[in-house]
Amino acid sequence: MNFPSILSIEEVRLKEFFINELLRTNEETKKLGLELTREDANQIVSTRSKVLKNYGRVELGFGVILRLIECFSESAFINEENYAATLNDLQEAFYVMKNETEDELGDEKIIELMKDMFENSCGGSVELLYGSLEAVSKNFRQKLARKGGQA
Amino acid sequence: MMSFAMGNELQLESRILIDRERLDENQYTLSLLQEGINAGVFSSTEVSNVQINIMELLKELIMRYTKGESTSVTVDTTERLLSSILYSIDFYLLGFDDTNEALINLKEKSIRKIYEQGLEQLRLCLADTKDLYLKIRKTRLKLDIEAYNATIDEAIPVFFEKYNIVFDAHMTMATIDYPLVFDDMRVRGITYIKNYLRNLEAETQYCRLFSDQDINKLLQSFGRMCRLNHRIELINIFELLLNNSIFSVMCGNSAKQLSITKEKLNALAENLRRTDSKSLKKLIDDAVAAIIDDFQIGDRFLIKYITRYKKQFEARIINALENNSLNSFAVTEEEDNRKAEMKFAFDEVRSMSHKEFREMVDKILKQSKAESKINIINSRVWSLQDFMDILSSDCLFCDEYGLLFDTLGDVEIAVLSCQVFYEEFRDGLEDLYSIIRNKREYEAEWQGYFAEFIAELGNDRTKSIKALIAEIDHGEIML
Repeated sequence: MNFPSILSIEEVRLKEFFINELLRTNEETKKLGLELTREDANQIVSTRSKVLKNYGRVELGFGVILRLIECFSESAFINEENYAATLNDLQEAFYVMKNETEDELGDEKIIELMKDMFENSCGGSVELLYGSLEAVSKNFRQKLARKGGQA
Repeated sequence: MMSFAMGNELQLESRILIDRERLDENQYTLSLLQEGINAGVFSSTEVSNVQINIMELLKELIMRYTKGESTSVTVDTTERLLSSILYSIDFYLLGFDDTNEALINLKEKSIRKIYEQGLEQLRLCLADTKDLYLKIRKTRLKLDIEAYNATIDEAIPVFFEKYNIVFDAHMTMATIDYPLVFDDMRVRGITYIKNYLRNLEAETQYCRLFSDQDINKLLQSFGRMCRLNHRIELINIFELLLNNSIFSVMCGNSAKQLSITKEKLNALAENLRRTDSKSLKKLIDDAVAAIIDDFQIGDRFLIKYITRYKKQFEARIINALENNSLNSFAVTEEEDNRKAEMKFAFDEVRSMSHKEFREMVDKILKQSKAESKINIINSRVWSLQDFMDILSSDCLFCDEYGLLFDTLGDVEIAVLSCQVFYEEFRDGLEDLYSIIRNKREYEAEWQGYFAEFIAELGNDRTKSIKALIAEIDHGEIML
């Protein structure tokens, strides 16, 4: 019995719960013409696990994707065809941004920033959003380094 | 699978079933759960519930750690926070002397309750340990021993400053250099520091039975004996004092008398070689008993500590007798007084100011002839530190180093040799030629030229320098 076994038990135990949580968001998003199938939900949960693992992060809970749905479902750039795929891309962008800003920015700040760029400067393009976030994080890290240097 | 009711009968049953040898104090709860499963005390559902409850605590701690601003953290942070939680749970469960009681608590109590009680106990332990540290600081030995002073003045305060029982309970964030006779490095966190300080207190208590002057004298003799600078080396003072007290008693002296003559030690070695191991053990037992009696040591922890050390001493003395090296185990008093007659050509009191030094370097750099450079150095430099700084300041080139060394007397060359070949002398090497042949790297360029200079000296002069090196107190001249 060790740390990984303790952590993995959470993932296995909660997978079905997470899928159902995602499907429950359909109740609200349906009004906007967006709906996730069980297969979409399963894909989003798997992507989340993969992304967290790839970027060396742990999330005990499911708050980020639910918040992304809440925030982005009202976007005019998201439709039924690209909904699930965009959510997958957005959650990856979110966790990359968490790492790149060295955990100094809170979840809500990052989501607000992503939404603002997505809607305005990126015109709904996830590729452009990635580029913009990279520039922001680079700038942020430089500021952090300067601050550290002063201290 | 047995149902774990709280009856004494079942407690006894589980007492037999748990394999204590397999319990790991550093992962106590996890190993207790594992052994609990093996013994049928826990069902897999119960273990799974414990894990889920730990996850809940972790989730809350992550939120606390990120001040509610982030639901995710890096794997490293997760492991750190999880380790901290498990350390607190372990701390509570390790508080039970009886493994069975720990097991019952783990089965009966909620993990949250155990965690909270663990945190409370950690808080108390931290406060007790701080008190213990203050006591040690107050009663510390007044000795110029770098590792001892740095541990008390810097390492331990840094630990208290950084230690956080909520997020880093398992961490031992301190660079503790001073070595103790018993130091269990397998334990972590506040438990390690508490154990360290408790042992340091016991050792200090024993050392304080001697005057600082006597301790210093013994340390100096030890330094000369091993050709090392006792101020910077990692030496355990307690061990040195206790060894000499035991030898002193074995030689027929009082425990309070630290000095032993070479003759007495040789006679003792002769006697001990004829003694069988049972009688030797008895002699050591008697000597330790006499020490405790002579000093009227009443502190149980210290008596236990000294008694525990007896076994180490016994093993070392057997080894020393087999290798005919008892004289490197006990510190004997020095008979001759040649050292007192030795006059150092260097005078640290006459060291130059930074400005004076800079001016001299500029002046030397303007000279084209080696002779002029050497004249300036010899007329202005008095301290060893300044002399070595000049050697390192790129004022001299190639042969000029040799010409400068040639103007030095034997004592100065011996002193410089102690600086350049410190590690070799400390390791017991004596032959300068062989040291130079085998030394691959030098810290500074001038040291290489110095080695070349020594290698070319005649036998008679080298012999005289070697004799002087043996007389030098390495602690006195180390910079």
